[in-house]
Amino acid sequence: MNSILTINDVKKSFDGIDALNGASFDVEKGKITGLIGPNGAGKTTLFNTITGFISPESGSIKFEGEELIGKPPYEITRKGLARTFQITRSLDKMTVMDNLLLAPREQTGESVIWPIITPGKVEEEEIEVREMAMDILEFFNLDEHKDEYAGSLSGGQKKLLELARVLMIEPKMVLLDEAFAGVNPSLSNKLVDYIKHLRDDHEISFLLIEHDIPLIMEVCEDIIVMAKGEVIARGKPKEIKNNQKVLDAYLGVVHDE
Amino acid sequence: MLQLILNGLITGSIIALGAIGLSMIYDILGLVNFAHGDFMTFGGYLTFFISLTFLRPISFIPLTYDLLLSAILAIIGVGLFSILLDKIIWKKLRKKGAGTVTLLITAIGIALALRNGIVFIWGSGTISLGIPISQAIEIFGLKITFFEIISILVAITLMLLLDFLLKNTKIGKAMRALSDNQSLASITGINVDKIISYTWFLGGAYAATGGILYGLITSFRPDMGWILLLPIFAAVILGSIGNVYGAMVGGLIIGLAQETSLVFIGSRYKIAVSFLLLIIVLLVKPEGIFGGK
Amino acid sequence: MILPSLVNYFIYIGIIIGIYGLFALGLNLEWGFTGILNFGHVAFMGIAAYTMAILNIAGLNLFISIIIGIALSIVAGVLIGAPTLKLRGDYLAIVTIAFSEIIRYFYINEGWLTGGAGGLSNFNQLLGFLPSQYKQIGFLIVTLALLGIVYVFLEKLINSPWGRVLKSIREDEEVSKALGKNIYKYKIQSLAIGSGIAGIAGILQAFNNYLVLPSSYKPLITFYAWIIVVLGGSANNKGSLVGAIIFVAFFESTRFLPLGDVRVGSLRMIIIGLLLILLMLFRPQGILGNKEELKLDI
Repeated sequence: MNSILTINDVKKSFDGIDALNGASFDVEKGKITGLIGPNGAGKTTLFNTITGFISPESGSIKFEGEELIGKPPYEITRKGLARTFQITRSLDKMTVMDNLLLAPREQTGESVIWPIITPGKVEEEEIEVREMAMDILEFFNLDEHKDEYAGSLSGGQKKLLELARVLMIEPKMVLLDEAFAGVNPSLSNKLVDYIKHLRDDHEISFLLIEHDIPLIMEVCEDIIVMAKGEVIARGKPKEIKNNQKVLDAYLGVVHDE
Repeated sequence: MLQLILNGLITGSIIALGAIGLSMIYDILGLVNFAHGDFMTFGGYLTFFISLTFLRPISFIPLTYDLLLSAILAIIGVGLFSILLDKIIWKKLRKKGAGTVTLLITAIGIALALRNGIVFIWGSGTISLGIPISQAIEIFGLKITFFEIISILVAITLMLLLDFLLKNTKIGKAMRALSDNQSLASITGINVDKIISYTWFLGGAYAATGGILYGLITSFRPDMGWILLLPIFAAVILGSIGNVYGAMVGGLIIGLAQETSLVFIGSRYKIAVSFLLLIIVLLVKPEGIFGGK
Repeated sequence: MILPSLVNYFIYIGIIIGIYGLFALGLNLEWGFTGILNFGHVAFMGIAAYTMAILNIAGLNLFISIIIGIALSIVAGVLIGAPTLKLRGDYLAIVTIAFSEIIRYFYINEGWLTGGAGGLSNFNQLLGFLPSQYKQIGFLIVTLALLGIVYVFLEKLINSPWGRVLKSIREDEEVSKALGKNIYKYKIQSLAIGSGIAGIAGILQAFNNYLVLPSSYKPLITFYAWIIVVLGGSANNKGSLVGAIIFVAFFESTRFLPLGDVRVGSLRMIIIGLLLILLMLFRPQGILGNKEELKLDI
């Protein structure tokens, strides 16, 4: 198979407790892959490790064959691997439009000298980026809100804004951390459509952390199950559904709770 | 060298008295209290004011008791003043959920108003309590003055007292609980506002004590507390924020470092030494020598 | 005879406003737009002024001395920022104030270089070639021209994609990182530019006073800049200018109170202190600040 992201034996502990205990898997290019597991399985820690927010003790994480460990978050994003956060983080005191304009990679105007030396070129780029942002905002039905402060949007709209912002990066792969949590069913269906559309038309690979099992079974073609910092199962939704190990892991936690 | 170490202990115990309150307030309220040094100054000037205005006219009180009584009243006064400021300013900001910068700027506002209030009333020069300059006595070849001995004794007593309060009284235990986990503390039925008031009182009172002692062994000037503030910050951070024992040890270390640095770089950079130490600690081990949370 | 001296007085006030305006604009870039808690801003003012004075007295051309002075302020900004900008905000505030005090002790103690507590005064005047009756007005024009240039420069930068990144850092560093921005680099750039602007203000102040003195670089002066920025409204360059005008007007209008220098000085600071407290309690966004856009707390 043609994998875009390869994770190999990643270990990370906090205060002596293993959050990641040798997690290994790869994600296939052009697929929507789900990452599930009970609370404390290490899913978000893994996301933070992949995107450079946390550095692991050992292991290897390769994106399109290139090692990511040791690289700061901004470099990883620039390679086309983008993420969202578990709790939606819009830049509330910037406008919706500015939230989007911020995202594209390598804008000439983002260096400190060019806006002063070549304002014309920077302005041209801005116009292009702005057009792209308008397209994406229209796609998510956020275009009417473009000049409002992001803080004034509803919770659901902020979820869309976060996804829209990530798309402005023109990513090859997106990691979504609980994009569906607290989202009403109609918006959640919409999000699913968006994600499928983006995968089909823009060939973006997705890796989703999700708690809503029925939903993930429906969206994902490939599912990875983690528990206690390790991968315990992997397969198509049907296979996962009937996997005894997975049931045990979830049931065990249910009892603990 | 021994003399310098002794001097370091004296300065250090005064810095420690300031550091204790600053550390507790920083920890519980997330407030970098830039006015803390001026609380110290205020303690000194309040003593001066009480003594000259109320006690001296009653001539039958001997000078020593006069001083002691004024000092105690001033210490309580600054403690109450700290609570008052909490009620009229800090509490409102807490309710609004104000963060680091709002608190910082407010503290600077209080510092400026307080220090200049003192200048406005008592002038910008030094003031005198009208006590004869105490002669240094010699013990084992080390020179020490009466007030310096008092400073060390008072500081040690107050530190032991605080230790006792924190470990053995209900309020002390509640303070520690609050410092460990604020939201948990309020769930468990601790009256957070009340504990904060006690913390302010203690912080203010200890600062005032430090200020009075510092004034007695040097001189009372409107900027005396402000000058001590950065060494106090250094002590607090060195000893790990929120750790009162750390603040005590930090204070002593800073005091010793300042005084013994005379041997190596002369007196001109005495105060700068603590600033440098502060910067080094923050760059190398920002959580302080006693770890932290 | 009254009229010319009154005119001169207003020229003088205009110069002071220009200097404080510049000084505050530098801080506003760092704090207002980037969220950097620089409490040692005055140090960068002093570094430029002392460098200029020392080099010029040593015989270097005045113009080159000025350029080197400002350049050194910028370099100092980078050198201070590099190790400290990763610290928590309140720690950064304490480190920078300590740095500015260490520098001031250096000026006081290294008299062979800095003239000690008496400072330096034997440097050339900026407009020494002008006939004396035009010097003041000439200097006002230079000051306001520099203020205008810096203002336009900052407005351009703030409204560019570069400024957009700064605002995102002020608001949420993690998001900014996740969107591929090297926030550390931006913070250093912001501190460097802010320090350079403080350097320009410092040099103008030196020429205006015919003197550089250690006591001109006390932490209080940094607080003045904070007061101006907060009063006018953080993250608003116009606000910094309005703040500077109000601040200087307040200072000058209280000058003639019949209370004696010490009392007037302290009364002023009492009022400023109380004003800061009231501002934080009731209008933290300042006069021109935008409540929606202001994020006073980081």
